[in-house]
Amino acid sequence: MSDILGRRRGRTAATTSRRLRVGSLPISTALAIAVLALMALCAVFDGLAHEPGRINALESLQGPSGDHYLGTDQLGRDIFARIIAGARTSLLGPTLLALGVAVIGAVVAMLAGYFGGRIDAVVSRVVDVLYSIPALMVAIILVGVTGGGFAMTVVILTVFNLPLAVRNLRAAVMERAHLPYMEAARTLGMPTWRILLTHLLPVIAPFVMATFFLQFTYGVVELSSLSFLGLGVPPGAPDWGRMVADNRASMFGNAWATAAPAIAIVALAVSTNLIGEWINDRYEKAGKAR
Amino acid sequence: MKQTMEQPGAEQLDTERAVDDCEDGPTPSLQVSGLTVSGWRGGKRLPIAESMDLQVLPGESIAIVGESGSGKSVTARAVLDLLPRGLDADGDVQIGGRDFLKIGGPERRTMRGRRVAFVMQDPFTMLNPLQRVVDQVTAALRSPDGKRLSRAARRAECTTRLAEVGITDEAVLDRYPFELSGGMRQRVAIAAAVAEDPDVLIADEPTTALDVTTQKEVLLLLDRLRRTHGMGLVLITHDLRVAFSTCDRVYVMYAGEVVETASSKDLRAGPRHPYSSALLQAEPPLRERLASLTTIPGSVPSPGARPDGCRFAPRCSFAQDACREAAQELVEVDPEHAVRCRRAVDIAVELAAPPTTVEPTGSNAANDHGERLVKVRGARRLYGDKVAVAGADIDVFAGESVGLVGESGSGKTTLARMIVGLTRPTSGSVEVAGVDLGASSISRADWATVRATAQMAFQDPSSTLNPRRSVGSALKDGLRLTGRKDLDAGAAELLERVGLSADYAQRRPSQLSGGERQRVAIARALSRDPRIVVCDEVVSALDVSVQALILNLLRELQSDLGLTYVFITHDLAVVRQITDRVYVMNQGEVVEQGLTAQVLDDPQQPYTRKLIDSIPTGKDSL
Amino acid sequence: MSAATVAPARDRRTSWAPGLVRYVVGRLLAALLVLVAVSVLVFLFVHIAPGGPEDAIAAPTATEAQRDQIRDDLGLDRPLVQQYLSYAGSLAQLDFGHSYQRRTSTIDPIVDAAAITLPLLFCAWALAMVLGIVLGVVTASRPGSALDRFVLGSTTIGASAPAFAVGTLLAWLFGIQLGWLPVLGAGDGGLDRVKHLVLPVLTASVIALASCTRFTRVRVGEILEEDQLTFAQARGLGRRWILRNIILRNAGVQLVTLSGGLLINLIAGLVIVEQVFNLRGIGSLMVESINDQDIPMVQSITLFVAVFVVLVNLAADLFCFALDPRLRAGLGGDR
Repeated sequence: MSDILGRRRGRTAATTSRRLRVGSLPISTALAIAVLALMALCAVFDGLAHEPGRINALESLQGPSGDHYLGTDQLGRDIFARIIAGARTSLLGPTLLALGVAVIGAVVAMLAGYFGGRIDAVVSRVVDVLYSIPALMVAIILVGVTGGGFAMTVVILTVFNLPLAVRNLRAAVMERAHLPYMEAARTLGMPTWRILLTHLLPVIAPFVMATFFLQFTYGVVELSSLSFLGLGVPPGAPDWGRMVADNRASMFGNAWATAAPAIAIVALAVSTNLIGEWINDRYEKAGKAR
Repeated sequence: MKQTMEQPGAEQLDTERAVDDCEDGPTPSLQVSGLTVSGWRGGKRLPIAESMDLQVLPGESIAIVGESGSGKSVTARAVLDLLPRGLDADGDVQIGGRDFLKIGGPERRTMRGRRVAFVMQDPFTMLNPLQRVVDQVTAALRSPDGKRLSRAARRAECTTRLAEVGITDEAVLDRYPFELSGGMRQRVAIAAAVAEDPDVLIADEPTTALDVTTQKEVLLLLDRLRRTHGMGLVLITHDLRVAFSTCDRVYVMYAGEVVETASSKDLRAGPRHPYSSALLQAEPPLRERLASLTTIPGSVPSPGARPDGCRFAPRCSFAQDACREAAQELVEVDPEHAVRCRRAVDIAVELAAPPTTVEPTGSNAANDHGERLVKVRGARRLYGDKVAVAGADIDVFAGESVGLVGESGSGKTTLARMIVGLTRPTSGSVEVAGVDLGASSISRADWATVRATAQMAFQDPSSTLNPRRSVGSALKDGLRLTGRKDLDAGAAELLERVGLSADYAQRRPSQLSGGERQRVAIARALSRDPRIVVCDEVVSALDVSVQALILNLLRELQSDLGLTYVFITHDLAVVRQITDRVYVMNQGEVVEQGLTAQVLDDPQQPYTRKLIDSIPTGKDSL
Repeated sequence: MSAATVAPARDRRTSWAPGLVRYVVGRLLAALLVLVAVSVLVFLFVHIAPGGPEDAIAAPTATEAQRDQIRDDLGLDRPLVQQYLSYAGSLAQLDFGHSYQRRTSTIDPIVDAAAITLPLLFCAWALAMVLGIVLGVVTASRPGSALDRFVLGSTTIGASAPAFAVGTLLAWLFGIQLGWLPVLGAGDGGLDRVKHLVLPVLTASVIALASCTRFTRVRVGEILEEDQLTFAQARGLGRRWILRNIILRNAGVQLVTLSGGLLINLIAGLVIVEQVFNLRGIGSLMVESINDQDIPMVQSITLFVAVFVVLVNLAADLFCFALDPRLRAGLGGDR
């Protein structure tokens, strides 16, 4: 029987989805981890790619075949190889970005949330101002105007993605920084650095991890959008976003030239998103089940 | 007989009440038969409340009493068919003679509000924060032809209803809930709940979140509404005293079942079930101090782990083998008095005799004061323009146990925090072991002295320990600071001292019960080897039986270790049991102080008297 | 029994009016400050671009003589602060500079481009908000159902997929494979234009829709678990009353804030979408100007975007203030 809002009672979502699991992970998360691991392997061992840069006008725009699993692009380059080779650039940027945001965000959030007062006031002000400014837009403008390269792009994106992370992490810190166990630590006379390290950090660590993965997702989206527009990546290097842009015109020839990198980007972003969300769900529930 | 509006006047709670005799024939306002509420875990059905049978006659009030894990709240929700997701109910519920559970959803919805009403515990979350009082109270009302009421009509209706619950200020109609105090919100909620004049009102712990003085007013209000509307009242509570003072009949629940039911008078005079008896005894009495409080060993079994025979057998001092073998039935042992215990008749005499192990001790004579450890003079604490503590003078001497008593907002917690150095006084002096915590700068050495002198144990067992660290590590934090080298051994010692085995050190807080966590919290305070332990409402969030355990432990520790206590609480009965001297605080000031026994037996100040009078004792209050 | 009253009440309306006025004025000032800061940054564009400021402003084909002319006209030899002040001065007079490459004032191309971008923007926003709220409410009241899981999965993908990927995919699917809709350009007005804008609007709204649906689902899910909802049900109040007065009201404030954020993020997304579908909107204008290194154009576009962002934020803040009495009370000082 369903009650007033049509909610069905009895078994909950938790019990039904329990069937589709791999170990303690839901199947989607397990897949996501697998995909991410695979791409990371490609990024690290780029020797797996077979001559991604070899141009051969005679083989231009061929469809998938035994020689070229995904066919060739307009310049006759093997798409499959370029996808594997492109993993390095496509993963490096988001990794740096996510690391920067997660680490700096965590430190700032802990300081602002734990100490409060003026530190918090300043941080909150800055966050409020920067929060609504879209990072991608700023990156497009600044990178475009100055002609900056990869390093500048990552720095700009880090700065403008920080406000959201700081906001969320700070909220998580503030919910916990004044709980009795934290105050007990103070009362015992524990030095502040020790309290932050051994009490606060373990408690917000899951949130920092979730922030890392979610920021990775934004990073993939933002960086690939930038390279799609031709900003931030040198031409010719295999990079998934660049590949989508370059091969758009040849959609009619070999659609895989454009579709494959697009699918790779989406797969990467979705995987890290799923992982980040799974972490969030698990630890939010743990926090509530007190 | 309904709708007679009496003027709010001076009333008292009493336990003698006749059922309205202009009702002809006792069609119960509420009849519950065989109600079973189950949850699901891992695909298996878990019964939470089983085969509940309840009855409320028109104008009668019943109480469902139980500790946590008894299933009382879930029963209330099931009666209304408002169970949270994941729980199912089976059984029969009839309201005013009409079927409730067996009819369709829309019909049930019509009956809710009109026939049966519900008031919940927390006045802060029950009301919609974004709607004005007038709109919320009259939301369910319709004109005779089924249309919504006009604005003027709504205001008129709301004014009437608010007057009924004792609110006469017109301005309240346009207020938002956040602009009202807790007691006012609870009244508004009650007005909204009974707006359609239902046959029965179910109130789930309606006063637990309120101050004791407000609690009394709300209970009186519920009682008056019951009489003027001829409404049945079901009061869910964990507090036996509240049950006895407000209700005609009591159902005692344990681990999902009713274990005893009788009229308030009979149950109070002579409980026939070992659990009810133990519960009554575990309540700290207000009028006298006991050498030690009765506790119930063991803990309440969770829904999946209930024993096969009598569910209370593992903890029962009268249990025999036969008790453990078969489940027990509810059997009437006296007229209108049923008990779920096969030995009820055998043990009647023993239960009725006053327990010989418990004797009231004489009130502590004024001790020779030992060394003065804490000296507070003129301490003030302001938050913006809000005054939390307004000039308090407190002394704490070595070896004694001092109480700080007051309602919420009295400043007792703030003052306690000042003593352990968590809060700085805005002005005034707070001297602990000679160090003035109100000074503008305090050296490291001085802080070390303070830390080694005064430590604190906190109120909320669910957040007093870091969920991501083991129990042992919480204790080692403090041990490390005393310079002790063998931390593991130290942690084991501390655990044993508070009555837990040493292997608890590896466990995580989530694996411990509330009482166990509070013990660890006390051990943590002791890890610093302090002279004073400030206990901030350490038993307030615990079940009565667990509360007794902790209080006994604290007394034991005091005599074993020569500790000094500063005990913060709102519960005067607890204060009687554990303190020698007491300071009564109101709105940031100390209004009365003295020896506990004297202050409680012969209060001088009007506020203190009001505080004592508000406590439901279950006897005639005058 | 004492009749409980509240403290003697002053007239509530006048007591928070000064608070309200103070708040609005405060926000306006803050907005102005932000715009000033942006104008300083924008002014610096010409100086941080590679090459000298003259190169940034002039067309690549300009002669030496033209460059000298520019230097004189704009006083590029003066100290920076003076240059900024005269720049600010001309902004205040609504003179947004001159694009040497296009040989027009910078405003005209912007206005033309806005005619394409703005309808696109608001359609995508409206679609995302309306559909997102509906889906969010529906799935929140049926948690764990097939619909809920499908929507949750889709929003995860939608939130992670970059606009160019989605756009390319949709273009390929509907434009090439199925041939239902045109994929390039903005069409010739009327129905043709609408047909041309369908795919761009869909593409642009995907991320916003995913975000809105997710948020609504979570927020409404929380509200459904709250005591106030059970209490309302216990009084026999119906679905619609609960939906309107409890669910939407309590989710409303945060939804307003979210909608402002979505609108702003849509602008960024449109830069990409316009590239994918060859639309000559503001986004494309910006990309073109960047590629041409036409700095004056970039400056003006940035300013307009900044003004838009500030206005949207301001509107969202004021709306929230109007919706939630607790926000008002925090400033009215009448607790």
